[in-house]
Amino acid sequence: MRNIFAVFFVCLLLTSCIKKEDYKSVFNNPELYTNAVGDLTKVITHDIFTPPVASRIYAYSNIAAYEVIASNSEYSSIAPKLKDFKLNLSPNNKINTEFTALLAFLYMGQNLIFSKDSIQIVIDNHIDLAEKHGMPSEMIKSSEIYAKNVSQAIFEWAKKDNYKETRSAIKYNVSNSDSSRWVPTPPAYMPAVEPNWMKIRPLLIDSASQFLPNPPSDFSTKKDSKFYTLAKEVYDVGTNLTQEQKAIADFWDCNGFRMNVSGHVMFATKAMTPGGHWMGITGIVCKNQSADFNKTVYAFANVSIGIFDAFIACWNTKFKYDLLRPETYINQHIDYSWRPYLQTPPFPEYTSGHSIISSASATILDKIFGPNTPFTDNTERAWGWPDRDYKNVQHAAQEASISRIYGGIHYREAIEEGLIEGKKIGSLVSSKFN
Amino acid sequence: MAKVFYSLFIAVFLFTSCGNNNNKLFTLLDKSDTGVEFRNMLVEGDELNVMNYSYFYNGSGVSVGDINNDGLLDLFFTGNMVKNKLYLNKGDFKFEDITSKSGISLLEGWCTGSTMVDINGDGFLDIYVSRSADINPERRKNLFFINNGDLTFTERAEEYGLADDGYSTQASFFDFDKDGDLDMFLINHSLQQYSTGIQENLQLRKLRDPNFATKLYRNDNGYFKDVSIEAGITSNVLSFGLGVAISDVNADSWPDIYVSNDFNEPDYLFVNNGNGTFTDKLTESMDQISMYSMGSDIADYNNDGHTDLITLDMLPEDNKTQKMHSGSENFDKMQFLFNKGFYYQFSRNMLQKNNGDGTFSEIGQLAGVSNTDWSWSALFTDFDNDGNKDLFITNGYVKDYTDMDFLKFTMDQTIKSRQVGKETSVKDYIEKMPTIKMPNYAFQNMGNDRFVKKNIDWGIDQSGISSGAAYADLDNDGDMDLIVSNINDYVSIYRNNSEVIKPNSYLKVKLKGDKNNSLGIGAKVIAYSKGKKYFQEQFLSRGFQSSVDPVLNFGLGEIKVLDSLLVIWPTDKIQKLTNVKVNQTLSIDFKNADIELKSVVEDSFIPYLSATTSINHAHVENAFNDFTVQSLMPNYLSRQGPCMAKGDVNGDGLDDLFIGGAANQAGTLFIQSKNGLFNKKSSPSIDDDAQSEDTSAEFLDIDNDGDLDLYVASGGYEFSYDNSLLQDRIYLNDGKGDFARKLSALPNMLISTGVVKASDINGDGFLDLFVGGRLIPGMYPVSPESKILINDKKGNFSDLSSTIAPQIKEIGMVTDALWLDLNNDKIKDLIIVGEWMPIKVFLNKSGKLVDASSSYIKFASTGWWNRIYADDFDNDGDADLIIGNLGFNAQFKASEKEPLSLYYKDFDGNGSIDPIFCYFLGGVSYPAASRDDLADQLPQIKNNFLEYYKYANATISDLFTESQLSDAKVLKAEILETVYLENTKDGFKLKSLPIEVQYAPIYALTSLDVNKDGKKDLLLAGNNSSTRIKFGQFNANNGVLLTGNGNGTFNYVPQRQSGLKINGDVRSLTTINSGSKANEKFIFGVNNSNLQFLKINY
Repeated sequence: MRNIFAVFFVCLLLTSCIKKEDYKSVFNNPELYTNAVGDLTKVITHDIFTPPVASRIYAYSNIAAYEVIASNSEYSSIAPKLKDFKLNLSPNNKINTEFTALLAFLYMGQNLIFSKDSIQIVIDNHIDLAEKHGMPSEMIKSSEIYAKNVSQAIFEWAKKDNYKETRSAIKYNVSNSDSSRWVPTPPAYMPAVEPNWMKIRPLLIDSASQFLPNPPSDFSTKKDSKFYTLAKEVYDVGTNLTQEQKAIADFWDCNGFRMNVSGHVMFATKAMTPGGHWMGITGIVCKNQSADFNKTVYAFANVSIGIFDAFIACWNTKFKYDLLRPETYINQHIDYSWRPYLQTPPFPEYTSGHSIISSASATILDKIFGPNTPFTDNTERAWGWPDRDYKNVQHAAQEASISRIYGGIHYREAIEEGLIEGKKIGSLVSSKFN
Repeated sequence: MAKVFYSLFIAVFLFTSCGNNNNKLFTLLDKSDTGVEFRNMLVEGDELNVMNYSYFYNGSGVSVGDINNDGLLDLFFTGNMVKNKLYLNKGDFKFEDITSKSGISLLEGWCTGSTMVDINGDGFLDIYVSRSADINPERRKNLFFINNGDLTFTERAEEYGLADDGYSTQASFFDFDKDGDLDMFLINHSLQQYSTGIQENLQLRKLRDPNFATKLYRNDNGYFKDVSIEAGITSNVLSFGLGVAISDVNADSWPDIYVSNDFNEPDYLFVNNGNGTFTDKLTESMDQISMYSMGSDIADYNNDGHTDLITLDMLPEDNKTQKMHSGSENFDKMQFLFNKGFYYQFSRNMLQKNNGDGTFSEIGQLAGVSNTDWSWSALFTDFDNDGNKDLFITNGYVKDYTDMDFLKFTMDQTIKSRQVGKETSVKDYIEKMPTIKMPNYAFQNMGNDRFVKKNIDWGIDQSGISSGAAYADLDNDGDMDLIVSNINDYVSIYRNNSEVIKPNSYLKVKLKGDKNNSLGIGAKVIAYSKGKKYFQEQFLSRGFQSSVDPVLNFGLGEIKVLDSLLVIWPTDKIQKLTNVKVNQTLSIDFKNADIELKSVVEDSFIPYLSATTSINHAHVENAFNDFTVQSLMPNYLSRQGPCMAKGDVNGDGLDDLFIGGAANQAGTLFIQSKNGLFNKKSSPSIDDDAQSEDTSAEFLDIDNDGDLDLYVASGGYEFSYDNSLLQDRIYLNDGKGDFARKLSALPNMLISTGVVKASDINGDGFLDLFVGGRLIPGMYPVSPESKILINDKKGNFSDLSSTIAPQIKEIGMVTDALWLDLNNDKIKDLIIVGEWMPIKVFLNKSGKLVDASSSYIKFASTGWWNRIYADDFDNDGDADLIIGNLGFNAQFKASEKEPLSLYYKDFDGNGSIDPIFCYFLGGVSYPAASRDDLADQLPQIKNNFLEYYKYANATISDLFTESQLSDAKVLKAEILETVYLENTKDGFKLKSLPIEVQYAPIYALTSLDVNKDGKKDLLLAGNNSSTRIKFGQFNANNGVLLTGNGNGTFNYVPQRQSGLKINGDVRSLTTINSGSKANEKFIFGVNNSNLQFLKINY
């Protein structure tokens, strides 16, 4: 990974070292920011953070960058609207706003990931870039200090979001008596991921249960029941998947930790999380829509806050209804040998996390860029999946949702309700930013 | 001085004798000297590799036998991708490769196991070869090379009906129906699509595939017929048969079969019903089994006349390798698999000691043989001829693909860095992984259930990747040499130098059986000398894919003449020889067997104890997973019940019984009637407190009104620390056995109580109390409060701990206590024991309890103490102590120099206590938790230990900074042994009890006199099944009876003789005198199970 960063920067340096004193234009480049988010995604993936935890890293890091922008532009701080957050910092005029925003993003990200050296390389490369392009050393220094102050203030605030406490909170208790409840699934039978995530302090929603979806259909094993029908749909679709459906399922798999088992050979393959995927889409849409640096940061902050709150709401629903996965139900009541096309993620089924966060992200991006946002999603290239074209972000969100049925890991209700809940959260986030 | 001279001498000897290398028990012979140049070379290809054939690296086998009857054992090696080889023994460890002229290499394929057997009774050994791997079933057909008597062989498997085309591992020939001819048992294995961890469901366990099935072939006049289904030989598509061991494990004269299964499918113990059918009795015979079972062996390692079993697995010995291969412990997954019928399986070698009563006690960790890394072949044989069978284990793996960094990081990066197909990337990557070579394990059997690693002393310390192996006396000098097949390297042949190093007596027994079983397979041979017996069975397929020397070799130490030698032939004919001289080869011919089995009287006897009419009452434990609260605890704490108390509550002169309930189960009172039966008495007041978990109970007269009142302690781990259900309770007796709770009797004290014990501390004639705190829920191992409660003479208690015994208040996690007059002042003193606690002694001096531990306990006594019991075992008039501890059968050991330690504090400042359990391994104390389990509780350690190789060597001081550790608390445990403490003028003197006591933790104790010799005997029970997966289950105690010699020494009574078969986690034990001594009953309280009543039969 380090090598990739290094190569990228060497190229950048080589092509640009002829010019001097052009740091302003060099840093007024939204792609630098999108790339920095991409670098963070790589580390998140490598370090194996679960989707909710990854959303926390994205949110705080983007907030750090956004607060730098807001302190020095027409954008206004979101801090007053964030729970329990006070930011009493203002920069002196010697900073370069974009450079500072980048550093604040990276410092904050570095606080929250494990492979700190990998992010340090990215930070150092940005500083090198500033030096090579004639940014005054005093400005570099001031920018670094201000970025550190902002990220430190956000870090201190972040520490009180109950994340630490939930590390040692009571874990999920598997029940053998209630057959509607979620149980660990093959092949690794991993314990439920983040059973206390609903206790994390949300950013803009009032509480984890502000937009509680309708409950799922009553559990039943009777063949004429609604629940059986829902499971049967997953089974039928999954049994007769078309190539296109498989492609969609693969494209939106976003499984951060997939276990591959063959005899005694076992290994994980790691993709970016659903949140990571939407960070990627945000970057593409910003570029397509020619968003400038500040607007790009604004969009990232919006979307990442939406995803963060959506995960809290979703996890609240998941552990409230505690519903078993299609794989478990189908194996017990329809076909013992059936396997979902995707690997079932290790947490309760209802509602679909990908649906809610995709819907929230799309709603937010819609608000910022309007409904006409055609784009080619190339974020899955690294995992070997071909690019896909979308009419707009809602189109992508719809496909992300339906992909979970193709993948055999969700019932239809979970994606429909997820889309609705995501939309509500997205609208709320957008309204708070305005 | 003598020692120095001796070492000097040895040193000189070593230097001067390098040439002939006879100074160690074994000498590895050079291939150029022996002429054996076989190598099992493996080349990964696109067609066949570990990604499309899971058992690509399982290796090959060795068979030994005299194919030309010249008195010298010849060698046969199977090859996976290379040709099989046959070597003729020319004497003096010189061998001739006769492969090509023998005709044995005409057919190839992926050959796995082989065994030599004389199938047609012509007196010449034939060779059966198993084949696997190939997609083409034609090339998987097993081969039977029939000896033409002239050093050539003809393949005739089809003619015998034995050309099985499954994926075969190994065959074993034996006479299962005792009709005089040899039948065959064959293990096959399933394929990778069933090893992906996603197919564990009951339907699949009912699915049979002949290619994967375990099979029994019956010999019908020379043609073999697959009778598996009618004989009850079950298997399914999840069967991965890697080991087969045959033995008459239940000593009913019918040979039984043990099959090792890799992956999730449990092993099978097919017990021979004697009517042509078998029944898998694994779960009723064994408490836990190896998970990834590979090779195995069955032999009587402890000379008790019953055959014991070892199965091999993958658990490494050293900390680093363990850590590199351990992810998170998945308790839910284990429970899930158990509920699906996959039984309790743990990844380590299991030594199943045969109790002779149809049960086994798993004691591999106590014996020291549980951790030998990725192991293949196990062979029990007496290498040094000292009379105890030693143990040789081969191990090694070509590619270290169970490495956790590979699993979590490397492979993912590799796949991402190449834009080619995933399958190819994985295969290519695995191909390039470095090969890790390691030495095999040679264990010397020291007797008393102990094995000691002797690799270096015995010269078996070469590194390699070994698979099949066989022992054989290649030079006919009366000791077993070793032949080991290696992957990608030459075969190792070790010469046994015992005749030079330390000549011990031996006896070789060559069996000449009936025509259809000329090697006497299935025969039992027992050598008797001075009350000792040495027992072997003639079964040739042993270890892994291999067959051993058909001539039995008995190591006999210093015995010169055997009292007798008994040969029991498979068809039950018996031959007895007396005054047999040692150091000879004895040929024993079936023809001379003249005794019928039935005429030999088995040592029949009535066991000391047996079950008697019980109360139909079960303790029902509430479902709770303690690890969901504190994931780093060493054991569950929510399963301490049932507690028991006895006393005459209705004044009819008969003891009645109170049995505590778990949370949501009320404690229950049983009134004894004149006929010795117990009747439940309803007690609404006690029922009202059903929600509490009862952890200790005592009948006592708190108000001196002449009847017994009841104290019930509340405890457990499943409540929050401030839950009112933790309040202890006192119930007043109305004199007729009706109880009513007296709320005001006790002060408010929300303590998870471990024990309550009453005594009149202040001498006012009223009973006072010691209440020992067991734990604080959610805050293990922070010391809970313990209390001294003083009676106000009206039956109300107040907390006077601060004035009477301030040191007791936070003494530790108390499990038990005892009031006992230690200084003959007629006032009872207090002894307190607990988890991570030293044994504490407090003398009652004028109503104050003064710490006198140092005058009474003069050894490092911190331990995991569970229970204390006092009685005068040496008849000197004072009470001695027995204190139950964890025992020796665990992954960890403790001593004063190398104690267990438990560091604890809220390391990450999030309001929860983080207990870090460490123990010594290889001289260094390392954390017990895997990197995943530790990081789950303390994610920030990933900042420094994201990768496993970094964590693999980390000690507590690498995990935390000096300042982080400066205010951390540390608990220690320096002794894990259940001890006998003799009361002497100079305090308590530590004495050891028989090794069987140390098989499992002891939680229940009582003295008795089973043999009516007037000397006190001792009954010990316990076990702890709710513990970490890494530690397996501590449950090798089926109830241990020791007969006392009246002087403080004890003898273990074998289970068959004691009659004890107590399964489960015993938490309490009490003796009830039902009117007369003759009606004495022993009541065992078993967690989440029925009460068990036992009586003495004499």
